[in-house]
Amino acid sequence: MELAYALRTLAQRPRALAVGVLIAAVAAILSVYSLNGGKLKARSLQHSSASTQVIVDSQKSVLGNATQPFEPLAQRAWVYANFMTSPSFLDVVGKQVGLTGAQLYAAGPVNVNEPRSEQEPTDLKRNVQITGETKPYRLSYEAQEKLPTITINSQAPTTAQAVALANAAAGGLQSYVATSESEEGITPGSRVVIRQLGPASGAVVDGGISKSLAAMVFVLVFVLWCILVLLAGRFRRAWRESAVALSDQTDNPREGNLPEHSEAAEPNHGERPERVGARQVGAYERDGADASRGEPSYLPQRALLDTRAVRGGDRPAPVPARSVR
Amino acid sequence: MTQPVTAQRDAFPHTKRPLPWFLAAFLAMLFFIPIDATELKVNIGVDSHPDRLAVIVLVLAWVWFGGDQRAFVRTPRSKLFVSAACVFLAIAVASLLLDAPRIINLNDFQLAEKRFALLGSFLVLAWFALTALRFEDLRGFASYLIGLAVLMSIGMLVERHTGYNVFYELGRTILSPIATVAKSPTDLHPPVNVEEGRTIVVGPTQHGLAATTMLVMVMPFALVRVIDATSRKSWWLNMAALALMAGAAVATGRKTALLVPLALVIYMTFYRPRQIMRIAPLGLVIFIVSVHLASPGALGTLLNVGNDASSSSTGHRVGDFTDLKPDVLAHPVLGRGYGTIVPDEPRTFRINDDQYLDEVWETGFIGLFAFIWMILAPTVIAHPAIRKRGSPAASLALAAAGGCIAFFVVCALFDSMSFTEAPYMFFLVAALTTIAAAGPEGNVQPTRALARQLASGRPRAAAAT
Repeated sequence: MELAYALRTLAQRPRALAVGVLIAAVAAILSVYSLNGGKLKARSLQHSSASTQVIVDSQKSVLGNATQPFEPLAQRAWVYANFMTSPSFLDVVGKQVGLTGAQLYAAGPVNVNEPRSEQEPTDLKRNVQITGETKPYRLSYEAQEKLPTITINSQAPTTAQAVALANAAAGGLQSYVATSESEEGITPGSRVVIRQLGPASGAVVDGGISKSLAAMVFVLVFVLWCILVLLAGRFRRAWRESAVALSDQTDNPREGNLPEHSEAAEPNHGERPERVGARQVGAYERDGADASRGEPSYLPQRALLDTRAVRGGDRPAPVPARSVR
Repeated sequence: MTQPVTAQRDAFPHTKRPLPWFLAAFLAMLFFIPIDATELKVNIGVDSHPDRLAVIVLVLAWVWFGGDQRAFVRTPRSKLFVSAACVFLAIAVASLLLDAPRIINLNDFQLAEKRFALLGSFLVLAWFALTALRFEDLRGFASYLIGLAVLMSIGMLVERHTGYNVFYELGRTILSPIATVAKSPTDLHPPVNVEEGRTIVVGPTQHGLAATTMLVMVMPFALVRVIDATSRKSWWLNMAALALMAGAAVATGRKTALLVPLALVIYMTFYRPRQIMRIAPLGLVIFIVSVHLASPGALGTLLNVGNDASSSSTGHRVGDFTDLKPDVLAHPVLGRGYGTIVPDEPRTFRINDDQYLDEVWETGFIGLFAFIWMILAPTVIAHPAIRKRGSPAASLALAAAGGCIAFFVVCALFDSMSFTEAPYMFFLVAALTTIAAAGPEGNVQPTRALARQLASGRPRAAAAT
């Protein structure tokens, strides 16, 4: 009934509700659009991710050679995966996708066999991570302890960009290693070869996030507005009733102090209060229960909310006028 | 007033009002079913843990059985705790929405939504308790809570001695048609490098700390009854319950099991110094003997100060402060967003052994203050009631406020909000504190009954329930 009462109270204030809808709509729009020179520009909330794998191989591939172990290459893969987070490597990758290295953020692999306390970032590492949290172009690498592969995961505002970024990271590693080998004069038989295991594939990660965010903001703001409307109504009522009580006290100083709960202040003088507005006078009804006890009183229609309803028969009872009728 | 006469007849468990029974069933689930390890076989649209379904049932029951008939808003009960919880919720929402683009970029938004659903569940439980229970129900409800905790303690002591986790094993058997229960993490002989070589006893939870928290939050209810006991039988029964709870808590091998009861005793001493001093000598002996009998060796392990100081747990705790500094400096006001800490990503997120640090991290300093105020608000509400010695509300308010103090201390010892059972217990106990502090005058007559009765022209007080 309390819930129904609140809803009914809100329904009686259509203009306030309309304002609430308007405010909530503006808040929802601003959560997914930004104002740019007087025009609305969509925020880049949605993003895509892509993934590809590279294998760290030798000139004669170990994939088909049972006599060659994976372990030495696996160790290299681990080193490469960590190296791929370096600024110089990110510059190489960035150039391939039309970005600068500073626009990219990359995170290296984690050794899952280490104790958690070793994996957790120190304050210095966390400083670096925090600076990259707002960058939309992101790379992360995974490498397993005994496998010579590196999984490259990328994230970008669009799927095409994410795919391009992952492919650029794979290509960047290939060219970086090849260039390094040429500069060092490594003989072809001793060279490491980076092979990409198929092109990157990607998709949108959080399709509809803008809509759900806007909906969430709309609902929250509207609910907050409704609560404000209800509270304002209660306050306004209490304010008016306190004015009536004060004036009664001034007229009859011997009657004592203010009522304990101003919300349901009862004139209770056997006659209608004269100093209230017409709207409030209209809300006062004859209290049948108290009249039966020979205590005529006039109570606010909304006295249903009076907390004193529980306190037994030691005080005149506030009565919901509509229920009596 | 004729109210008390009627009230005595209609008080939990001697009541036909359905809502207190729904709450009792929820608590039974909390104390006996490993909710975090149980996955329902049905998809309910949210996480498939049984507590989520139970919360939905609570909401439906609240609507169906007229929970809003005793609407909390129009009771004289203090609104301090509810408003503090609302403020915390508002700050949590603000911390997420005001930094939504960054959080979405880090793929943490969906996780935060789940965490909000969980926070909503906690709030629903508190709201349900506030509207379902009357002051007269509290005594029976406190007995019920003690009973649940005693049964849980017995189960944990069996687990400690035999390695058989009755909650997981029975739960798996009974719930097999509708749910799957994971294997219990119980381990009486762990390798030295796992969990610091500590015995793992978890009861109906997934971590010994969660089980310990549940027990220490019920302890003040038993302790107050020991203090207030008017008969020898009552004294011994409640002391036995207290000893069982202490034994089971210590059986988990967690320092929390000693520190929180100590804090509780200090808190109780503040209000009842003479009574506490009177029972202290005998109580301490009973405590030590029963804990030793229940969990041999556990007390010695916990009291090994040298080991504690050099343990990796202590070292990690010290590291929490320095390693969290960059995040706190980056988002000092509202944090990095409520629910955006992902424990499954150790390379980004450390597990802080302190809920207050987590709050600073997630919701900033404003969120931290709101969180602390939310925990302490019930104790502030309870203070005047506790001071009114001799009133029926005083003891109940003291016991329930003790539960809040237990949670306050617990939050400084580990990330308590990460274990579902601990916050559920807090929000329940906070609601009980609010009800107890208001006393019988906090009750409210159901509006529909009041309207019916007034329409029939009967005197109002006679039908007050």
